[in-house]
This record gives sequence, structure tokens and C-alpha cells, in this order.
Amino acid sequence: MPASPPPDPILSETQVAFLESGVSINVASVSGDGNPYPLLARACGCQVSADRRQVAVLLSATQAAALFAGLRASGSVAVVFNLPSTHHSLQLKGRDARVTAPAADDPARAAAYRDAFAADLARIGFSDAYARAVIPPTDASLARVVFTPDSVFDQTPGGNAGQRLTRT
Amino acid sequence: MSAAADLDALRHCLEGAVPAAIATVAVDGTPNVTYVSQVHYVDHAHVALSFQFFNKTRATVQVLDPDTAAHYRLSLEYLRTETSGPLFERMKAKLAGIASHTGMAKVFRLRGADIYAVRAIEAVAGAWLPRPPLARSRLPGLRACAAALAAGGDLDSLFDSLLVGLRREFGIQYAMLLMHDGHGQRLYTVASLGYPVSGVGSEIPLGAGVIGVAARERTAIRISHWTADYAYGRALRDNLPADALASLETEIPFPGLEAPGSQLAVPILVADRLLGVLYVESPEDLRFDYEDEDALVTLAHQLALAMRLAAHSTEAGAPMPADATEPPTPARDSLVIRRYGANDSLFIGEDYLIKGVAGAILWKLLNDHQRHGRTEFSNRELRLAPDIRLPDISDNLEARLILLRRRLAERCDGVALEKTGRGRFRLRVDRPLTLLDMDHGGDSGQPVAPAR
Repeated sequence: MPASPPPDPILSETQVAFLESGVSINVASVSGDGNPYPLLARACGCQVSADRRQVAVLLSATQAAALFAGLRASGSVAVVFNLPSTHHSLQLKGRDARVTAPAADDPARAAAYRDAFAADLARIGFSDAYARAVIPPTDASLARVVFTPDSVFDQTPGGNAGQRLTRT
Repeated sequence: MSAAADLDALRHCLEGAVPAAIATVAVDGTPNVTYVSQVHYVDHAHVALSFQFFNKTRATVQVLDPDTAAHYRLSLEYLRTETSGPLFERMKAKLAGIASHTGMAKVFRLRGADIYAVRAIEAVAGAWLPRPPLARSRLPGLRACAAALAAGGDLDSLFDSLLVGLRREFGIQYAMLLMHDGHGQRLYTVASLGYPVSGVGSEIPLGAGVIGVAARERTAIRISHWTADYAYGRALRDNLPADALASLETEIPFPGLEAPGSQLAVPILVADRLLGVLYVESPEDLRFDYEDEDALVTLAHQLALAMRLAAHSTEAGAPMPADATEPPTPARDSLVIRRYGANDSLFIGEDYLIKGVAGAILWKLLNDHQRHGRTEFSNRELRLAPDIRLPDISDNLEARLILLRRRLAERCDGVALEKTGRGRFRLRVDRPLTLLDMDHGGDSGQPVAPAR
């Protein structure tokens, strides 16, 4: 792990556009009790910083209580982004995850995300009501998890699934 | 919800309608997260996932309720991987349907079934949709069908009772009953429901399609979307070895739907012996669920026991009645029946009728009738007849007679088999017959008037 950020951001602009679209987002960490167990929760939106070095994902603290405890203890995070209609998937990993209060515009971001997610699920036959119910509530429990991605993996099903992607 | 036993309540979340997220921990302690195309219900405390390359000692999967969107997290501990056998084949078939439905037919291939113990189930808090009204319970239908089977009767009435019950109690429109051939390499259709032609006499090789795999693995196979991988068509026969194809009944078309959205095949087993397969299908996707599978598996067991009971009582009848004196037959055209000995195939005029064991049985009956004027026969004498060559002492002769009787009723005007009692039947011939044995130059027979 280099001491300073790499000269180029690890994420391309195309990848950023994908992460911020209506993709399905699931966040994982490990329990911090010396007996690591995988923890998992669904997110309701994503924002990548202007310099493409920081990623924030939005979650419901109610749904993600155990995940947040794991993130606070270990800082280790893995996030998978998947567009249901195409199966295109990326996984980001980071080691410096922290749980923070939501930004002022996060409720609006989550609402826009939910619209985009429902639109994609409609393409493969899911009802609008179902797609919206899948997404965590954007209420007082909204929180964000911020991290610096240090690796990106192609998770699209097929021969390349699980391969680390490098910027060229 | 924390007891693993509650997995039974989540079976509907494990149909693969919505992909599940899976989190694991790498050897270096870092998390890994991706999607898994199938979380398969094994039993109340185990699931199986499609094979994963990553470290999978412990996993958390998040499954969704396909109706309410409720999320459940299952804490799993890896046990083992299976690459063949009933569970593997069940998952492989189901995955083929999911893959085809989601446009991933070339991508989703089951390499192995990773089996996990379910240590805990967490119901995620959320504003989920209201649960839709419960689907009608399958238990009353199961009860009614089981009662009809328990009433007993011969095989014919058991088969009819079951198919009628499936339609009335379960709304099933298309169904077939196939019996296992004594040689063990194929199944032949003895009864069907809902098709334009019955398909009685058509055959499926062991291992071919949903029916053949259910028979070979002796396990229920259920697919909820159409998939080319399990279709019964030319491709299936093209993939058979030549020797298997040579002896297979290919003249009688398989009656099944061209592109079923849902298929369920259930083995009919008694004491580990395969008697046959019960098959149901539908043009709709997702037509059969775990509850239907439970019900049909249970009914197949009931049918197997009833068949066993019927077999024991079939040949214990009264002494043979004298050959009946038939009423005078109106003068009609002679019926020419040709026989080819290589495969015991029979042709009525130019039209194929039947081959194999059923063909040999009918040829014997027709010859006994022609030479000795016999009309009354017993199952027992057929079983002992050297010229029939029943494949196995345990072969289901009764089922072959049903096949023959139904095939004659569909295809032959003038010759019929009628049940006359337990293990007994009558050959009714209403037209003059000409029997030609093509292995002997086709000249062995003379036109003979029906016996008087």
C-alpha cells in the first residue's frame, strides 16, 4: 500500500458514471471480534468525489447496524455494483472506510437513485412498487460510508469475473 | 428469526427470481462481495450455492422475498462441494432455467454445488410490501388425490385417478405418466393429460431432459423458465449414442409442449426401485413452486405403493373362463398386420402401431387367436411365454398392456383389448385378419375370419 495516493485516480470517468447510476449496491465488511465473519447490507445511492479518489455509499443505519460496527472496527470494505438489466458488475475494495453523517443533499441523492434503480428493474419486468421497496428507506437513519478505493474488480458473470482491473 | 429451522419459511425466496448478494472473508481477513445466481434450498438447515472460487469458509448471503422485497441474511458455514448426483442435477436444471430467463444461457454453468449449513437467519428491518394473499394451500388437494389412490383399483384406474385429480385439485393442464422399462434404459408413456394426441407409447431415454434426469437421479427436477438445455426435440435425439437411438421408440412422437415455461418431473419410487416418472408442465413461467413439488413427490410415493398393491392382487384371480363365443361379425375389409422380428414392430396396413415388448405381446395374442381361436388371456401366461421375452421378471407387464390397449384404441380399428377381471383380458377382433411375418417372407399368414 503506497503511503500517498496513486498519481491517477483508480476509477475511470466511465466507471464513476456507472457507480452513480441506478445500479444495485451491496456493501460488505467483516466483524471485528477476532473471529471475522462477513457482514452485508444494501446501499441506496453512491457519490464519487470530483477527483474520483473517494467513494461514498448511502445506507440505512437501522439495516446496517452490524455492518457499521464491523466497518468502525476494521475499516475494511468491499462494495459491489450491479446493473440488473445487463449483469454488468464492479467490486471496489478499500481499507479506510468510515461511517459519517449524511450530506445535506443525500436524501435527494437517494430519492434520485431509487428512481433510476426502479427504471432499470422495469426493463426486466419488475414492478415499480417492488423495485422501490427493495431500496432501504431514506429516513432519519440515512448514513454514509466513505472510503478510498484501492482496487477494482470486474464482477460481471463470465470468464473474467473476479479479475482485478487496472488503469492503463 | 434466528433458528436455522426457519429456512423452511423462506423457500419461496430461494427460487432464483432475484439474484442474492454474497459476502465472504478472504484469507487475509478482507471482505469480498459479489452476486450469486442461485441459493438453493437443500433442507431446513442447509442451502447450496453455485460453485465459488473465493475463500468460502464462512459466507453471508442476502436473499429477497420475490413478493414483499423483504431482505433476509443467512449466516452460512461451508461444508462440501458436490459435482454430481441428485442435488447437483436439481441445481443444474434450475440454473439452466434461470440462465435462459436472464439471457445468461452461455454464462451460467454449474461447476459444483457448494453446500453450507445455515447457522442463523436475520430478517432485515424495512418498509417491505404487504404479503399478497396466500396461495391456496396444496394440502386439501393432496389429501383428495391421496384418498383416490388409496381407494385402490387396477393400474389403469390408478393412472386415470391421479391425472384427473391433478387437473381437478391442482389445476394442472398437462401431465404424463411414464413407466420405467425393465431393461432400465428408458421410460415409456402410459397415460397423459391435456395433449392433442396422447403420446402413449412414446419413449424418453434415461438421462434425457427433465424426465430422464429425474429418473436417472431418482430425484424431483423442477425448472421454472423455458430452457433449450432440457428441451425435448430433435436436438435431444441427435445427442443420443447410435445404439441407444436404434432401440428407442421414435415413431410415436413425444406429446409434450414445444416450449414449456415450467416443468416438474417426479420419480415414482418404491423401496429404492424406480417404477416410473410423473411429469407435469405448463406454458407459464414459475407455475410450480416448492409446495407443488412437495405435493407431487408425496403423490408419486402414494402411487408407487398403490401400484405395488395392485401388482400383488392382479394375478390372483379366478380360473380362466372359456373363450367367449362372439356375436357374428359383419363382413368388413380384412386388416393386414405386418410384423418385423428385428424389433418386434407391428404395422396396421401401412401405419406403424407399436414395437418392442408390447409388439411381441400383441403378435402372440393375434397368432393364438388366428391358430386356436383364443380370445381369453391371462397376464400370468404372458409372463411365462417364451416368445415374448419380457426383459425382467419385475417388468411391469400390466403397464405394457395398458400401453398396448390404449395404442390399439387410438390406432387400430377392429382389434381391441378389454379387461375381463384381475389379471385377465379379452382380445376382441371385429375384422378378418391377415398376419404377415415379414421375417418369413411375409407369407405365413392366410386371411382368417374372426373366431366364432
